[in-house]
Order: sequence, then C-alpha cells, then structure tokens
Amino acid sequence: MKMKPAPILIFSLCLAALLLALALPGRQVLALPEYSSQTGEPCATCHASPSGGGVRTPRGQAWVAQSKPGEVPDLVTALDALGVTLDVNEADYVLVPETIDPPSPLTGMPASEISSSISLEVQRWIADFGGN
Amino acid sequence: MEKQQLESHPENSATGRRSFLKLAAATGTLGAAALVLKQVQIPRLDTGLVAEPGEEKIVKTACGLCPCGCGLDVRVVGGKAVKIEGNPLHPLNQGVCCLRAQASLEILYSPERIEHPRRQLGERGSGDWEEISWDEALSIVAGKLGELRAAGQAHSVAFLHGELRGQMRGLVERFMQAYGSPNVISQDSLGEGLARLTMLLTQGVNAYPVYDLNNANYVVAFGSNLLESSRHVIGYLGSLAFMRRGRPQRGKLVSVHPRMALTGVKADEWVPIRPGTYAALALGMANVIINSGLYDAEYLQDFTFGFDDFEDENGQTHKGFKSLVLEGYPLERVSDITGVTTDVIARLAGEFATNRPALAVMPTEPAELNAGNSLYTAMAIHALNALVGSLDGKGGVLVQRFPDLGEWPLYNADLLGNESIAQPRLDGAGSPQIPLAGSVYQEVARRILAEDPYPINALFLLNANPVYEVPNQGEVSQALLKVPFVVSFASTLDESAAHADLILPASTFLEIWGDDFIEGTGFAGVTLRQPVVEPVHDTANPGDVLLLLAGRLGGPLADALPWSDYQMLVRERLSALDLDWDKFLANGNWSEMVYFNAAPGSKAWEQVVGRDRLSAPKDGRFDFYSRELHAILGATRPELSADPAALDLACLPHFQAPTALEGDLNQSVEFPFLLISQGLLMHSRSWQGIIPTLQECYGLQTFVRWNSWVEINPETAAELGLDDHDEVWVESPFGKLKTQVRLYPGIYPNVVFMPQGQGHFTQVAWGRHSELGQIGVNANTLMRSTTEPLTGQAIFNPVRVKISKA
Repeated sequence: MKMKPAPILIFSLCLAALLLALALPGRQVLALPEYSSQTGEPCATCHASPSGGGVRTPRGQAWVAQSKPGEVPDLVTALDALGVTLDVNEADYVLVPETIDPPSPLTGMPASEISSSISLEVQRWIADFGGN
Repeated sequence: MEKQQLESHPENSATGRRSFLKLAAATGTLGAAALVLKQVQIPRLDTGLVAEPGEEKIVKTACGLCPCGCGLDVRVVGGKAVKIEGNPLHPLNQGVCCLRAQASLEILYSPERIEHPRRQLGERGSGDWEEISWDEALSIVAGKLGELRAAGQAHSVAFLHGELRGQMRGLVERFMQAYGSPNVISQDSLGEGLARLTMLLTQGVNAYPVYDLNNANYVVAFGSNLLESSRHVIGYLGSLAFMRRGRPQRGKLVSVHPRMALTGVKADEWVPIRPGTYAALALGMANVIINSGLYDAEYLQDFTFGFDDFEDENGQTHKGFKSLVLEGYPLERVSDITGVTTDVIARLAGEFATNRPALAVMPTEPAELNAGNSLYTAMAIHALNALVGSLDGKGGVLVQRFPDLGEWPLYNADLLGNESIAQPRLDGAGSPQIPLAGSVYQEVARRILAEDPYPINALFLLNANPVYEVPNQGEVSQALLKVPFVVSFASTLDESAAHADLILPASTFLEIWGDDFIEGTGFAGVTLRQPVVEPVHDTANPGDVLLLLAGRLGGPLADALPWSDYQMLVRERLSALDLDWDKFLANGNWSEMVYFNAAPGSKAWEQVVGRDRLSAPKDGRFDFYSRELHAILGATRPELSADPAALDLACLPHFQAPTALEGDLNQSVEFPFLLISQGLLMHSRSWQGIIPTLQECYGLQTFVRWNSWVEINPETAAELGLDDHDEVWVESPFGKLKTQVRLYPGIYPNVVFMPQGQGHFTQVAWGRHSELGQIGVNANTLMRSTTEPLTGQAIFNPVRVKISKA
C-alpha cells in the first residue's frame, strides 16, 4: 500500500518548518502569561496588543522600568514614573464636601413675539464646536 | 487508525522505506523550489503602480474614511504604499484597523480617480469634460468669487461639506467668513449632529458623548449600530472585547433595534422593536426604575434639574420627569407602542438599574434617528444615564475633550464682507422655525429652487455628494443645474460632481498634510496626517486650494489666511501644544493619555455638566427638564405661552409617533412595510467611489457582493410567496427599485431593510460588470426627506413600501 501524496506533502512541510525553526537563532521570550498571573492583569494592560507581546503600553513600560513588581502601576503613576507631566490638578476632580445649593428657580416665560436675534444666536452657539 | 493499519501490515515496511525516500526527496525539492522561486520574475502589469525595490519605511498617518480617524502605519516600498495596518501607538485603535482602512490602498491607486482639474464644456451633466491646469482652474474660481463679492453677492455663495477634520473645519469657516457668506452647511442634519445637540440641551456641553464600555457593566444601545457604523466604532469594538474578557466581571451588551445588525449579532441580547419607538422604551424603563425605587434620590436632587415637579419664580408649578414618566409610560402602553413585551421591558430596566455602571447609548451615526422624533428620543435615552448616575463616572458617559489651540489670529474684515455675512442662511438654520439647527443640509436644494431666501450664484462641494446622499427625488440635481457656478472637490466623478462646472480633484488622505482631533477616548489628542507617498495624480489638498484662493482674492481673505500652505497652517495652529515635532512625526499622534473622571460636585464637574450653556444656569445640574429649551422656545414659540402644559412637555423627553407611522390609513394599507436603512461596516461615507475589497464582502450577514438586497423576515416572505434570492420590486410612494430578496430572521416582521452606500454609478468596469453602470441600488431614492421642526434634522427613515415579485 502506497502512502497518498497528501500525507507526504504535509509531512514534508512539517519537516521543512521544523528545520527552519531549528535554524533560526534563539530569541528571548519577552512577554509571558506568567506575568499576567503574577500581576492579575490582562495582557492588554502592558501591551498594545490584547493578546500580549510587542509594543508596551505606558503602564507596561513603567512596570518593566520598576523591575516588574507584583502590581502594575496605574496609568497616572506610570506616566509620572516615565517622566510625563500631566497638566491636570487631580484635586479638581474630587468632591470637596460642601453644601450643594438648590437650583435657581426657572425664569423667563414665553415671549409674545418671535425673536429672530435669539434663534440666530442659538444657531451660532450650536455651530461653535471645537472638534472635528 | 490508518497509522495502526500501516504498522501491522507486513508490506508496509517496504512501502515505508520507499515513502521515506520520497519524503526526503520531496523535502529537498521544496527547498530547491524555494530557491528557484526567489529568482523567478513574476510577470507584472506595466502600470507604474507596482513597488520597485527601494527604500522601505513605515509612515504614520490618520485614516480619513470614517469619523474614527484611526492612526495608521503605512508600509512604503520604493515610494509606493504597499500595506496599511493600525498604529499601535494610537490611543483609539491601538494597532488595529478595520477593513476599510486596510483596503484604502485601493482608493489611493483607484482607476476611478480624477487625475487633473477639469472643466465641463457642454451642458452640466453632459459629461463633456476638458482637463485644465491648476492655475487656470484657480483663476476661474478666484475670478468668479471676486466678481460676486464686488457685486455685494458674497452671501450667495454656499459651501456644502461632509466630515472636516482638525483644522479644516476652522479653515473653511474662516474662508467663508472673511469672504462674507454665512452659508457653510454641514451634513449634521442627516443625523450625526443630534447626539451633540442632545448633550447640549440636557447636559449642557457641546460635545459628542463617549461611552466608557471598558468600565461599564451593562450597556443598552438604542437604535445605535454601535459596533458597525457609530462615530467611534473602532474604539467600541476594542472596548467590548475588554468588557467581555479583559476583566473579572463580564459586562452585558443589549442591542435594541428593528434589525439585528452586527451590533445585535455581537450583543448578548437583541431586542427587536418597532422603528422609531426607542423613546417609549427608554421612558418605560425609567418608569420601572422609578416605580421600583432603583434610583439615587440624593444624587438626582443635588445634580439634576426637573426630576420632580417644581415651581418657577412666579410660583407656577411645572411637571417634572418623574410625574411625566409615571403618568404617561406604564408598561402596557409602552409595550403597545414598541412591540416589546412587558416582561422584557421590566427585566431590562431592572438589569440596567442594578448592574451599574450602566450605559444607555444613543446613535451618533446618520440615519438611525431620522423618524421625525429625533430630539425627544435622544433626550429620553440620555435621561436614563442621569437616572442611574452614569455621567462622567467610570463606565459612564464621558465628554470628549479637544486640545485648546486658542483663538485664530484676528484679521481685518471689510464692510462688504460684514454686510453679506449678516444675511440669513440659505438652509434656514437659525431662523425662528428651526432655531436648534447648526445646519440643515437636506433643505438646501429645495431652497435653491425656490430662491429662498435669495438666489444662489455659486456652490462648493467638499466631501459632499448631495445628489446621492439626500433623499429628495431629483431635486438636488435640479438645484445644482439652477446654480450658475458649481465647484466640486470630488476625487471621483460622483453623482454631484457630474453636475459641476469645475472639479478641483482632492488628493486622498494618504497624500496630504493635516491633523485630526482624536475622538472616542474622552481625553484630548491630535493625530497627524502626513503624505505617505507623493501625489499619484495631479490633485491637491483642498486646504491648500483654499489658501491659494485666499491669496488670489486678496483683501480680508489674504489677511485671514496668510499661510503659504496647509502644512504651515497646521503646524502653526498645533504650536499651541508645544509639541516635540520629531516625536509627533515618529508617533503619529499626541494625546493627554488619561481621562480624569469628575466626581459630581467637584470643580471639574462644571466642565462636564453645564459648561457650554447659553441661557440656562451653569450650575452643574443635568436637565431632565431642559432649561435651555425653555428659554429658546420662550423666544421662538409664543403660542406656547397660552399652554403651560404643552410648554412643559416640549422641555421634557417624551415619545412622539414617527412621521412614517402617521398619515392616512389608505397609504398604510397600500404600503404595508416599513423600510429602514443603515450604514454597514463596509460603507465609507468619505469615499464615493468603488472599493473592490469592500464590495467583495459588502453583505457580511447576507453574503451579497457587488450588489444590494432587501432583507425580509422569512414569515413575511412566506406570506408574500417570496423565496430567498427572488428578484423583487420595492416600491414606496416616491419611487421603485428592483433588487434581490435575502431572508433574514433577525428583522422585525413588518420591517424590511436595505443597505446604504450602494447604487453608485461607476465609470470603471470592475471585472464583474461588462458594461459601465451602477453597482447595486441607492435606497435613498425610495425616500423623500422633510425637516423636523426645531432641530432641522432630516426625516426620511423609515419609509412605507410595498414589495412584489419582479
């Protein structure tokens, strides 16, 4: 009984691939699933690619720079460690307990005549958009 | 099994030896073949487009095919772009890009491109073109513009545009302002501007909403094709993957839509609903949440306005959101309106309120909320976010920030320009009838034909193809023919450019300098657009063309736009960011990288709630009852003064019947189906030509290629005696089209669907069509747009149709 051509081809390709793999110089593995287990973070925390490997995110860069501790620094800490200065006062984003004023009562009742100037002002207000 | 048989058979040992020898020979042959193949000269076409060996580099730029503006890495070999991938350093797409971007080399090297400026010699639309030089083309345009301006007719020049990125929006507006025309008209009224308007009237910020799917636990997309055609689709695709698998708690996505689009396919649950009834469902869910006490009363009291009934300064009582919802939207009524069963509504509401952070997503793409009730529908959807405290928190609605580049430099305007620019707008935006519109794109043709408010003498089209895009039954073509001078910046001979006097062909986004504000991340950023190759044809960046025209026109235009080219303009404007230009070039973008969520009541909270209000107080309160609307309606709708209840309703989110569901009974009998249309992943509104790779997979769910189709529920088709792939006529009161049936269970029974983006005429035989002609059909020709009062949003989707075998 002769072997069919297809298995021969598959075997040949596998053999060629094996030889090729053996011929390639050894490379250090730089991204490991163990790191994910160690830190409890998904690969995408440290790598641009969600499946890991390749370009590192700022959090990943900072983690490596800090000799791979048990926790990956948060983004703000990471950027700080990488020398990136954020032009933000974090205190502005936190509520300082104080009395909340009640809303001012609704003012302005419907006018008796249509105001063209107001509708034009509204159009400019809506069109005044700083984005794309 | 086969292996065991081989080993046990006595003859196989010999066969095995023979096989081994064959294998060894085959392996050797493979290696030799590989060496031979390396030396084989592959025959190639002598088009000049095949990359020659030469310098190889990766050039970073920004995609221009949809509003995502993804960062791209373009591999260039020997001066030819050969491959496109996502830029891993870009904060939105993070190394991925969709098929549109991957296929955009087919745009760069498209045989459909217009290669030189051209002038139409015969009657417009005749196709009798003459190629001319840029110098001659610019002389013609500058001459015409100068002539009109000198005659005090600057306002009679209109500029219609589609998506303008980065500095282009400012440049176009500044050009027209210095020239003296108020008529810069965008496509916002086709649907895309609605989300921004809703944010402004409720939350008080003039910004697109960004939904923080990364941190949300429960997401309901109302009518939005979030994962296929929304404004920030590529960001949401990545976030959805993270929401599902990248964190310990898996989030849930629910798609509410008459059709199970790709968003519905990828969602955890698809809730089929009658077209145009999202507001009723959102308010029904609010009813359950309020009735069940699943809201934070203290949060609503401190940071919102109009949840409870309230008294105004005169002591008059006004209805609040709570009363409106409890009185008007009991489950049974909502179920009758929407077709969604009461138990599903109650379950959705319960899950939404108890799995926070939860998000109610409104569409940011055209054609999803064009049923005639757009504003109050979007307000109702967004009110759910306030109800569960999802404003600017993690997993909530973020406010897209943009870099602060400062004001454009002052220039010396002149009397001619100032007088002209004070004229009313061509599209009616800003009139008391349509006070809430920035632009009313679909009204332009009608008003040009009626010479309302004045005759239009010149029209510019940039990223705009109104003949194709606006469902107006040929009115746009007639309007273009009526305008004495039409200039198009089209890259291909699209349906509108065919009616132009002049075409100043735009370079593709891969050939020009520019910038692109990053959207979809929340934090501010800019993506650089730089030429990846030399222009393939004799085309130009429209930004450069406008600067050259300004120079030729002189006066206030030259003063307002003194830059020698668009690259200089971009660089000077971005200098406000104090960027390291070399790093910017190398990374392809700059961003703030972090979105800081503002705690309610914090100093930063004022930047995300109330910041941009005009008349309403900037008091950090989300308006269930829109105080801005109250002020605007007060000034523009005096009739409401006699009816306080009507005024209250006009300031609160509520359900209005879609225009297509109103009308006379006879029409609904004759045209029993509701046709909806929506953009698909394979459709780019920024390119009006054919992209072969996208055509090859146009109907991802229906497997239709290089063609259109109509999706029909199998039960409906059985009642009509239709089978899959049958040729049918789809007929509305406004027109009829022939196309093929695709049976699709994922569509509401009396609803049918046709895709957008097909039906373009092409001058190139693509190998699939022996004759020059049309690829698929344009569903817009079955529709006829009207205009929503107040907002100016177009009404055209859904439309009533009937279907019969062809």
